[in-house]
Amino acid sequence: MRRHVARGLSIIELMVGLVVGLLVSLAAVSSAQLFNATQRQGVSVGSGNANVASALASIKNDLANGGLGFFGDRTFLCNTINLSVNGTTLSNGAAFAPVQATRVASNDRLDVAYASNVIGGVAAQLYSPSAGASAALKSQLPVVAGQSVLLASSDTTANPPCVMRTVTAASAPTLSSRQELTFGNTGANNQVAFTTNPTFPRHSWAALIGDLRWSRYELNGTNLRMTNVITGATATLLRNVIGFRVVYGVSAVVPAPDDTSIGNTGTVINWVKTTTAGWGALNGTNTPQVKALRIAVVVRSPQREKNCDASASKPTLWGDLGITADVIEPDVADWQCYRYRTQIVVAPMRNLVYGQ
Amino acid sequence: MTLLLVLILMTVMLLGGLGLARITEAGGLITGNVAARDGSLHAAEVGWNTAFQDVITTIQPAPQVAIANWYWPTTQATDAAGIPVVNFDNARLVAGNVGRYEVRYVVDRLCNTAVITSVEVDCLSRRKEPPRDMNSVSSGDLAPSLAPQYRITIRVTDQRGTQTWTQALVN
Repeated sequence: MRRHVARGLSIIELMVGLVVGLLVSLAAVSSAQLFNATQRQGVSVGSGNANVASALASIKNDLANGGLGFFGDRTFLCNTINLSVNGTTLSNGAAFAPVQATRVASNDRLDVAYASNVIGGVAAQLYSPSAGASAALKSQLPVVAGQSVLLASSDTTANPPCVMRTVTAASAPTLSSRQELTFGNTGANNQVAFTTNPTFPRHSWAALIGDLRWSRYELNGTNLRMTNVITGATATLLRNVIGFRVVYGVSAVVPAPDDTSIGNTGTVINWVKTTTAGWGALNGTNTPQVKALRIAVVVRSPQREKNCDASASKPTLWGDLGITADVIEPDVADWQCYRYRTQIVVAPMRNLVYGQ
Repeated sequence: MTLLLVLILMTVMLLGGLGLARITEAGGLITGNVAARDGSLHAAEVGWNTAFQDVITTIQPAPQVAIANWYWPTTQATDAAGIPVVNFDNARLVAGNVGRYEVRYVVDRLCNTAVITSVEVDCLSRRKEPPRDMNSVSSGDLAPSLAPQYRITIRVTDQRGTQTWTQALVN
């Protein structure tokens, strides 16, 4: 009788194989979990840094233009403004500054307004008084129909609101006739009657704005949001933002016109918060002191870490500036379980410096 | 079965790793773009200083005379972005480039005629204060004068051909 030859694995070999396979599977699964967690953390931190950097670069670019078109002959033109677009009133004599940081709740809101045309850097004076429907200019202004012009009164006592007007016709100046701008009712900025409709005396100012750019940066929950104030369109720049703060870099005193001396009058010697007395709002008095803005964004990592030892202390700002540090309050109770990143950008305000 | 499971997990990890590498690369590219833009703006500063010196030393002695390819005594037409419609490839070049950036600039005087009869009427003008150093001027120089404005337009081109444009008014 022929004996059968044993084939395959013994029960012992099978059990050992199963145990080894199980161990390898467990190791692979735990490695994958660890890898995925590390990956998510790395991605969120890496992309978060890049997002913050690009958002701050965008704000800095906006700020670089801030104030263009809002200065006359070394004079800040507008403390208040009448502004409407296509029949919608955006400002009816409300306080105005082309660069303005305002404390809202525990963070700052940043407004930046400027002319789209570099020619806004020089304003022309009115040759004769204007009631706002037209304007005769002393100096030639290279303006065409459809562009916006800012009218600002030379009456510094009454200090009436500036008015934004759209040019509907512009004559060419000659030696015998001044350049005449017409602001017809069809113009985008000309369709609303304001509470105060000032008359502009001779030597008032007309600055070419072109298209007014007005951006507002503020926190909406934990999203850093940019709003186009003119159109109302919004865009989210960053998420998981827990702090958006601004400080002004200011000179000690208001520099005299054309003071080009290098000294305390022309350089930043103090950083002041928007909560500092006298700096809650910019106006014709304190704007000439502003030389730069420092903007900080504090971002929380989106992913909670397993061990709550990611952060030992809450993020702080401005401790290096010689002023009282701001502690940024995280938006979560278990704040130690998250990481925080602070990025700061300094933007020189050239149009504010050179405009006056 | 175990082999299949391990292979699937390894594939998932590999894809995750590739995704991480891609996102890291994108972060680097964004940061690089921001840095390149900052660098180009710094290069534009050099162009601005050079152009301003040209306005003082080359243009203002004979402001009514155009200089081929880079200076016009009258306001030039602009495109929708406010850039003068001229050939920037032949515009004045900052010698030796600025780092890895090529910087070119043009200047146009914001006047409607080359030979000015009245600065007020013919040009966009601004009051120009006399020097504050009293030792360097005579009493006749102390009255403010009207000065026509010059528009400097600078084009900065980096090695990849990306262009950055800046403008300034000077007098």
